[in-house]
Amino acid sequence: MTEREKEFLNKLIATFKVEAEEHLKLITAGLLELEKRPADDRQLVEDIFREAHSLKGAARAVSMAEIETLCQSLENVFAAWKQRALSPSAELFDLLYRSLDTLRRLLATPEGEPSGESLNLSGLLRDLDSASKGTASRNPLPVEDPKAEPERRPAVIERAPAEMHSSPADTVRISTGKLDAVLLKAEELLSAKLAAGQHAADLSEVNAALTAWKAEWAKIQPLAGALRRSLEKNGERRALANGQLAKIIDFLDWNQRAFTDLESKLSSLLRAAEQDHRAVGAMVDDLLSDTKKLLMLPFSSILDPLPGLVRGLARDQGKEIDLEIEGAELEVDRRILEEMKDPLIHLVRNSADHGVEKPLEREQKGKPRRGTIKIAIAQKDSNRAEIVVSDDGRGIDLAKVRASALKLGLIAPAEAQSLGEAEVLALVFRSGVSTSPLITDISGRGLGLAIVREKAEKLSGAVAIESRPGFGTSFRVAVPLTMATFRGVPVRVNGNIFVLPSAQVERAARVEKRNIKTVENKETAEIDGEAVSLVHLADVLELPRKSPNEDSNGSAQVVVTGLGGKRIAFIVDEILGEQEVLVKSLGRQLSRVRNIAGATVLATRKLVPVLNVSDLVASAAATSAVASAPAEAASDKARKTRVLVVEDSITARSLLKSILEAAGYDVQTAVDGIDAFTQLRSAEFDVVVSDVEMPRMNGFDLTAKIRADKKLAELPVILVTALESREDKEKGIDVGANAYIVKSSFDQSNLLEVIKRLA
Amino acid sequence: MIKVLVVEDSPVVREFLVHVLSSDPEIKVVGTATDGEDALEALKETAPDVVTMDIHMPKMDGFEATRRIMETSPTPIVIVTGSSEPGEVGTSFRAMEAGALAVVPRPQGIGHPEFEASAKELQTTVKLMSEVKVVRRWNRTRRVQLAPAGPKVEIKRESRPAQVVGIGASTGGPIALQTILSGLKKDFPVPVLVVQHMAAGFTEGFIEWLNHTSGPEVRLAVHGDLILPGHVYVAPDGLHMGVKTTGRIALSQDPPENGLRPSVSFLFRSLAQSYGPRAVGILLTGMGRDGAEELKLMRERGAVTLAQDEESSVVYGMPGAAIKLDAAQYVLAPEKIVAALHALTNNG
Repeated sequence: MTEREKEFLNKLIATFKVEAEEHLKLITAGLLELEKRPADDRQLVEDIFREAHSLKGAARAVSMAEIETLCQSLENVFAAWKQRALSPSAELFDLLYRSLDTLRRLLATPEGEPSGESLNLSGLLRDLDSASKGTASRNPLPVEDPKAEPERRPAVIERAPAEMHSSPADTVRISTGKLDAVLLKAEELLSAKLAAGQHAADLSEVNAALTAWKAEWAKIQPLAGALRRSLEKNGERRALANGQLAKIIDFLDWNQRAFTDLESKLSSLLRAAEQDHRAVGAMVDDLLSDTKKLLMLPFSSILDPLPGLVRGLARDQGKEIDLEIEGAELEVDRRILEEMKDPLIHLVRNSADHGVEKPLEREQKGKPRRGTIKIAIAQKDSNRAEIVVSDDGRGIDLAKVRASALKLGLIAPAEAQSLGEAEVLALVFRSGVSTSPLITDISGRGLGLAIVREKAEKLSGAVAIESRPGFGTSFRVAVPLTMATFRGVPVRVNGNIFVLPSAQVERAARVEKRNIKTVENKETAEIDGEAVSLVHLADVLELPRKSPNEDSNGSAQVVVTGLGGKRIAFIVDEILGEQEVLVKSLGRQLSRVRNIAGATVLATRKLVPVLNVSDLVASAAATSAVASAPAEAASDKARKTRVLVVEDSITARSLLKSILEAAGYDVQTAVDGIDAFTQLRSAEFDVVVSDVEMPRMNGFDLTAKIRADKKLAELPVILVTALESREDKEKGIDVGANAYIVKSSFDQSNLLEVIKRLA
Repeated sequence: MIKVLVVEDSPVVREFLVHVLSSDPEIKVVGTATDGEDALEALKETAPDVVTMDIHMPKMDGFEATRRIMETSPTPIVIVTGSSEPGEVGTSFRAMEAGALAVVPRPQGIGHPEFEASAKELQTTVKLMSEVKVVRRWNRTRRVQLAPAGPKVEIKRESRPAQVVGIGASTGGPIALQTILSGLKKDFPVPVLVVQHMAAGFTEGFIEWLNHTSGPEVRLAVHGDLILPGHVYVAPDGLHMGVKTTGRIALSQDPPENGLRPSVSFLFRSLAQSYGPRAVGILLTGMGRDGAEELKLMRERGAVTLAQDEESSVVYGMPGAAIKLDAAQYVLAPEKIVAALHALTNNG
């Protein structure tokens, strides 16, 4: 292959990935549709067949042999289906979805790297090939009984089908990179708008100065007139002195004319500047809002993976779940969609995992066997969309939330009882809180909802939760439709100007000095009837405070932030107003600076830092003297956490050991269950990380033995395993494991996070 | 420079084809279209010398697009197909009925061992087709003239009727062959052996397509098969086809002749040796000179020899060479070849 060809191939592969996504999407949609219909639809099968065929052709053009082969086998299955040589069954759908997943993974594999799918692939190909042949011979008369199967299959019901396919003739495909660049430039124009405003303001200031001059002149003018008249009366007697005086008076006359002239020029200049400001401002605003609309996409673009996800989760957990989607056609800024993708997936997962019960349990409760998860999207007002993810499952167990929060030390034991229902529910958004007895790859780590809230708040949105035990849970996420232009509050602290993001500023206020109270070494003041802790922004930013006696008239200006439900009032020297701000990142050299989110140029061309409020809140907590943590906890942390790694493979063992040691744990190892149990009895450990399949005593037996032992019963056990079936996971629960991590999705941060939470 | 319009719905394949074609210094891709409707528009704007056409496309497929192009602004069309599945290939050949000149497989991907060779095949075909004069077609049904108008062909009645017919064809051959075979009676009294130069993997599809028309049954030649009246045998991919005196087919892996295997030369030589004066040899349209010398040999051994006339030939290379050698007794258009064959085999 020549260099030129290589280069071309790389370009072609990029195109291929986009095209392949499209084909996969259509195949998936087609399959989901087919699965819903009791009788098969030949045209639909034909369409899917075509898609697979096109994908194969495209893969061949870029020499992606694995994808090509897999597509060929898929095509064979669809061809047989088309000719009614096979009858679709639940197993067949599973196989097809599995193949699509594999295709997606193959697509995601970077070029030139072994995909690691090869082994998997040959099995899959065998299955597909026997599906395209075998089924036909076993079942020569594929008469579909409409009543037999559809019951079991999860379905996707999409209400209010959207007119999403506008005529292709009216549309062009542009890379988002190009659109982002346009948007960025449109945003840059904001500084032109701000500068125009500043110029107008400057000119009007000069104009005001001139007015002051005019007032002074008006006082002097009669005197000058009188002087001139008296000079004329006196005649030539004091010619010399008069000549000098006359000159000065003449100059005064000229001066007045010059100034009047200047004044009229200045005021026309001021008018022009103001007009420019208005015109540029309006144009920039229009341009910006139109450009933002360019980046609007329907919600459906991020909902695509969800039906498949629900289907997979339902299958893995032996549940029956319908997913209903409403309002997927609502258009939202692409960047907001991008941010909402993970939270949505998380919420749906959460509902499938914790919300919807197993069919048997549902029947016992008198509910239909099949659970329903509903995603409803609606526009709430001109710039706000609400996404409601609800399920008809068991609801949230408040007692468990309370217990989890208590264990994490988020609430004090006394507090736990006094908290109201809504307050307890709100705790699920705190990091680490989980009602799940078992940590799995899917959920249970209690981080998901915290992330949902963080993302929503980052978009200046909000999350709310409602839950009725036994009847279901619904999450309401409000997000803006377009990214609002960033607005900020410039404040002065000890002579420096900083900008606080308006979205996170709840209000600005003035606090009377005498109303500031000191409680437990912390300053608080009553704002809107609530005690809010006061922090000097200068302290947080580690700047010297302005000496207190300089503060004017015994009051302080504060900016109140309400991030994460906790209000803090930051004391500043002066609040300078509120304005649009174009935030620039600090660049890669300064990818993360504590307390600083970025920088911006004020209209005065002054470069100022934009503050990161969540950092400020954290820094505030650190600077203010709190530290009343229990003494025992502190001494506990002084000792390294001791981990016992149980693993029969020497490679995996040493790998785990080095990972954990690098993370600061004290690690011992054992080669199997028996070895581990012996060690556990002789030394003290904080957590056990164990493989499942081992000689002599496996991980399940080890866990069971630990739970049966009086002394060890409470010891956290994390099972790390290659087994990914529901039965195994359930077995993990049965024997009493605290977490169950599947190796295929195993990455160290995952494990470390779980250990940190459990140990 | 040969101006080419590429019609293909898959963006990847489209870019790939543009790349392959543009790599040839003599070819310039002047436009691309994503479906048939688009192609009709692009044709007006770019006025290409050749169009490469995909068959399966949304809105208007390649078959319909070919038909429309040949009706409104005739342009040489090369069907580029990504499939070698017989049914699919058959569909591609149907586009030839609508006026497409050739069907070639889509080249292998970059990095594939056969990339260079298959890319070259596409380039060569496109260049070759750019020289073909195409005529406007008013409608899709092409009447086969069983009783040809104009001067009647006088075929000398042989004392003993022919026992086998051999036909050799290359570029432009499929349509000529289809015309001839569909004109023959279903129970045509002698077996017909056909060598058609074709891209590997297409033969089965080609046969399927030929069988859509009336006329004798067309099948793939199998080594050792007895050749029977009422049947047409097509040489398989990569093997020479001959016939023994016993009337059995002999397939051979002898080295390619004129760079080709199957070659028309091999068939004609075999017919000359095994059947002598009881054979009929027909050399149809095609590039090069495969079979010209051997048609002469057949004639020398007493066989009746025919060559397609220049007017109806897409490429006059092979028949032209034969005529130059004085190898052909008759020079005829396919419709008239039908009449000649009936006359030559009519023992009644």
